[in-house]
Amino acid sequence: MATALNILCFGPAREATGQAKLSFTTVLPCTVDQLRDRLLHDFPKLGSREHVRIAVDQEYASDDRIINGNEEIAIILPVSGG
Amino acid sequence: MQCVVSHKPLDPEECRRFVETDAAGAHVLFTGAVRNHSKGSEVTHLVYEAYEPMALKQMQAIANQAQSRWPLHKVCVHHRVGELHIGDVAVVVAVSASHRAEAFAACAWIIDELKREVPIWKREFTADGDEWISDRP
Repeated sequence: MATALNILCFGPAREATGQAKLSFTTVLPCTVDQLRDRLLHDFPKLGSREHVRIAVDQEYASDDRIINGNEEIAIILPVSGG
Repeated sequence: MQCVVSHKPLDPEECRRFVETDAAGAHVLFTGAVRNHSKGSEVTHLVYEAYEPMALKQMQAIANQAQSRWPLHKVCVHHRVGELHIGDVAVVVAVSASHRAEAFAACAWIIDELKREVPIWKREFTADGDEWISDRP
């Protein structure tokens, strides 16, 4: 069923989505891969899919990781620290 | 091991002191500073933003991996966030080891890995405007 998922956006991802904490309505559960596709569909400014990483509970998540809605989710665009 | 994400100016000397130990014959200290140019444009300042709890976890994971790959005594990684000006120190990596080869190798690997994996972004302000830097690997 469609649920509002809170997604954290930092730096360039915040600029691409227009929000630091995005309330994203989507069907759950879904995989990281599916979430990425849905985000790219709604926010094409995120760029090309191979550069969009999803963090689940503050760790980089694999594409087949299941999201149930109670996790901390963040969009991680290519980083530029250092 | 010590990892810090700081909103205040970094102190490289503090990091060097942290990795000191009587067993270490080699200390390597890397400091990354804000330079005044980027891709032909004059840089006025940078703003660093971090996903702080994850950045800290990633820095700790990298320091742990370095300690499993090389026989190190101590590792210290500090990264600054907020507005930084030319010459300000943005990142410090300090390592100590019994001998220099592993200290040099580990320090270089840690800063490379940090730039690939730690969720921190810089926004660059130049005379031509400003933008988030999203370095492709």
